[in-house]
Amino acid sequence: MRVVVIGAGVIGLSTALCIHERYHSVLQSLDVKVYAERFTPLTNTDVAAGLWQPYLSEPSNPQEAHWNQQTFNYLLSHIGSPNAADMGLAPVSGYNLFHEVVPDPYWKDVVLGFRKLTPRELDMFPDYSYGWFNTSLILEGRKYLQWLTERLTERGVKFLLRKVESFEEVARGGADVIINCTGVWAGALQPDPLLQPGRGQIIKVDAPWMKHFIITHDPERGIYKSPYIIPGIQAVTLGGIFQLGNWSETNNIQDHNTIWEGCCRLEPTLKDAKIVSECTGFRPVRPQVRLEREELHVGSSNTEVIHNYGHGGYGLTIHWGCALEVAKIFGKILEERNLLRMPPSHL
Amino acid sequence: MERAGSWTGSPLIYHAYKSVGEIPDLWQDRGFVNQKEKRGLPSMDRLPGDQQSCSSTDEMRPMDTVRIAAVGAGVVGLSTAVCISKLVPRCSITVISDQFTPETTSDVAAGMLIPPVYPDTPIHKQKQWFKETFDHLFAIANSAEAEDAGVLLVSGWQIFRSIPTEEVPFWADVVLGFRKMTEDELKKFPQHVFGQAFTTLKCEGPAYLPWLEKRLKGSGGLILTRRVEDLWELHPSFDIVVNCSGLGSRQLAGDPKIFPVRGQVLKVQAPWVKHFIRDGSGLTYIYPGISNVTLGGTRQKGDWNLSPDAEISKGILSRCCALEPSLHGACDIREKVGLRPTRPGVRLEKELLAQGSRRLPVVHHYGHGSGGIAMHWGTALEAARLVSECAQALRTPAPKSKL
Repeated sequence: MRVVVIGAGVIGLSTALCIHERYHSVLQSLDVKVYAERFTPLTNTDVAAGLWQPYLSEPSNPQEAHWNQQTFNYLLSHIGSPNAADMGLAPVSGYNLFHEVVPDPYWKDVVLGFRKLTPRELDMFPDYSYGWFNTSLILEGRKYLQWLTERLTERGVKFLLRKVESFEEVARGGADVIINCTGVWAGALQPDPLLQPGRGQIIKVDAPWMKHFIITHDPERGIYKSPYIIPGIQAVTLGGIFQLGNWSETNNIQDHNTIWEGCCRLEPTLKDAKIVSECTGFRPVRPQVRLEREELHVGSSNTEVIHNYGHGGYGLTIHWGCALEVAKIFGKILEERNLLRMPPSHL
Repeated sequence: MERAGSWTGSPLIYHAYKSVGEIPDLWQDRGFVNQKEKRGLPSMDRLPGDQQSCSSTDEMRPMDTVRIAAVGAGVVGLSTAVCISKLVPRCSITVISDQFTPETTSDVAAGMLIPPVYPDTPIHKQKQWFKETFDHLFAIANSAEAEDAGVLLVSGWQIFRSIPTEEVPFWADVVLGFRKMTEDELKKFPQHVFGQAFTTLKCEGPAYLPWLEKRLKGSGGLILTRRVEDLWELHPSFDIVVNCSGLGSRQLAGDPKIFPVRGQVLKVQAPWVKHFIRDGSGLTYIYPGISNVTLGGTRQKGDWNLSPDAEISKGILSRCCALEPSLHGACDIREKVGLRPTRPGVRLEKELLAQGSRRLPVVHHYGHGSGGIAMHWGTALEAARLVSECAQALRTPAPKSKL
C-alpha cells in the first residue's frame, strides 16, 4: 500500500503520522511518502502563532467542533509528558477582549477554567468592556513540525522536495492513496472557488515578561483583523491582519504599523520590545474544511484521493481531529480492498 | 556559584551619588570602603547631608532639612527611602548599606505576590499592606515601565494534597480572578485534591531594586556604601534613622526575635513554563519570571549557611519535576541561597535611642520573613508615616515633645 501525502505543513505531517501509527502494523506493507514544495520553516504553519482557539461562532460543519475538541484533548494528554516542550506544546492562559457583551463560545468547556473577566481585570484594557479568561494550549508551528518530522523519520517515512503538478502524475508514479494536504495552494491541483488566501502578517518580538495571550475582537472588522498578542516558547507573536484574496508574500509596511500600533496600545509594555522577525502567511480560508474522498481514474487503476485542506486560521486547532477522520476514511478504503490483516486497534 | 545576602568578603562598589552641592573631598576619593573602619565617625568625617552643623539634634528650626538615614538596601530599605522622599517635606534621605543589588536577599527571592502568614500581625493589617503593595505594582505592570522595573503578571495554581481549612484566604480579593480550580484542571495534578487558580504579580529584585535606586536618585536621595556596626555611628550626622537591615537587626537592634529561615532555590531556563505552580504548603514551587524560572524551595530555620547544597538542589528539581514533568528539559541551572529575615511579625515602630544626653530617633522596619516583596510597599508607606511623625516632632519647638 503506497500512500503519498502532498503537503508538509501541520495538516500533511500530522495526517501522515496518524495513518502510519494506526496502520503500519495491520498492513502487509505500508509505504508513506511526503511530497512537498515547502518544508519547515517555509510553510504557513511556521508563521502561525499556534494558539489553540477556534473561531467564536459555531462552524457550518458541526464535525469541525468535534475535531477541534479531539485535537485539544489529544494535545492535553501530552501535557505531563517530559517531552511536551519538544513538541512545541505548553499550557498558556489569557484574555479575549470585546467592546460589548457577547455569548460564550461553543468551546468554553473544552478549554480549562473558562470564566468572564472581573472589573479589575478589564481595567487593564481600557478600550474594552467585556472579556473572557481561560487556559488553553500553545502548539508552536515550527517546533511541532520539527517534532512531527522526527517522528515520521523514525518510522521510515520519506520526504521528497517536489512540486506536484497533478494528482495523475502522483498516481502514475505508483501511489494507491493520495492525501491532499496542499492547504492554500490546493487550487493549483484542482480548482476550488471556495478556497481563498487569508493573508496574515505577524511580528515576532522578544518580550519574555508576557505570559498571557491577549486577543481582541472587533465584530465590525472581522476575525484576526483586531490586534492579538500570543506568547510562544521563546518569542511573542503580534498580529492582527487578515486580508482575503491577497497573495502578496512580502511584508507590508502599513500592515507592520497596524500591528505595532494596535498591539502597543493594547499592551504599553511592548513599546521597547525588540523585534526578532516579521513574516507573512496565507490562511487557507474556506467556508468549511474540505475533508472527503474522491476516486481518481488513472489508466486502468483507481487511485483514491483524500482531501484535507481549507483549515483557515484554525489549522493547528483542528489538525488532529482531521487527521483521525482521514485515518478513518483510509481504513474504509483498506477494508474495501480487503487489505486489512486484522481490525485496526485505534479506531 | 553565586552567593547572595553575604555579609563578608567581596569588594564593595562605591555607590555614592551627588545630590545638591559638593560631596566633601574626604569621600570623593573613596574607591573601596575599608570594612575595618573604626566604630562611629571621628569628628573630622562628615557624611553627605551635613549641610549645616547642628550643635545638637535636639534643637532644630522648623525650616531645617531633616537628615534621614535608611540602613539597608534590600527591597525594604530602598522602597522605604523612596516613600520617605515623597512623604516627608524638606528632608534628605541617604540609604546606607554594605550590600546592594544583586547581592541582597531580595535578589534571590522569586518575588511572587502571595502573602506569607504573620502570626503576630492582625489580618486586616496584613491585608492592607498586601493590597497597597499589589496596587502599587499592578500600576507599574500595566505601564511602559514594567520591563525596567521587573514587574509582570503571572497566572497559575496553588494546589493542595488535602482540603485546606481555609479554602478562601484573606487575600483572595486582592489578587485577580481568584477561584477554585475545576476538576479538569486538577487532573494535571493527580496527587492533589484541591486547588486555587488566580492571577498575581511577580516583582524581580535584580530589576526592581535598580529601578528603586533610580527613583531615589531622581528625587535627590543619596546612596552610600558602608557597613554600619552600630546605629549610633549615624549620630549626629543624621536626625532620624530608619532601620531596614533585615537580619542585621539582630546586631543593630539587639533583637533576638529575628532569625534566618534559609531558602535555597534554582533559577533555570524553561521558557515554555508560563504558569506558576505552588504546593499549598509553600515548600515546593515553580515561578516563571522574565528571564528564568525559579524552582524551590526550602525552609530551614536558624540556618545561616549561604552556600548552596547539592543534595538539596537535587531534591528541589525532583519535587518540581513531579509537579511539572516538562522541567526535565530545563537547562542552565543556577543555585541560589537567601536567608529570609523572619520574625513573628514585622517590626514597624519608633524607638528613641538615648545615650547620655544624645538622642537618636529610630524607626524600625524589618522582619518581613518570606513576605518582603509581597508586603514591602504597604509597610514602607507606614514606615514613612512614622518617620514623618518623628520629623514633625523634631521641628516642633520647645517644650520638647516626647517621641
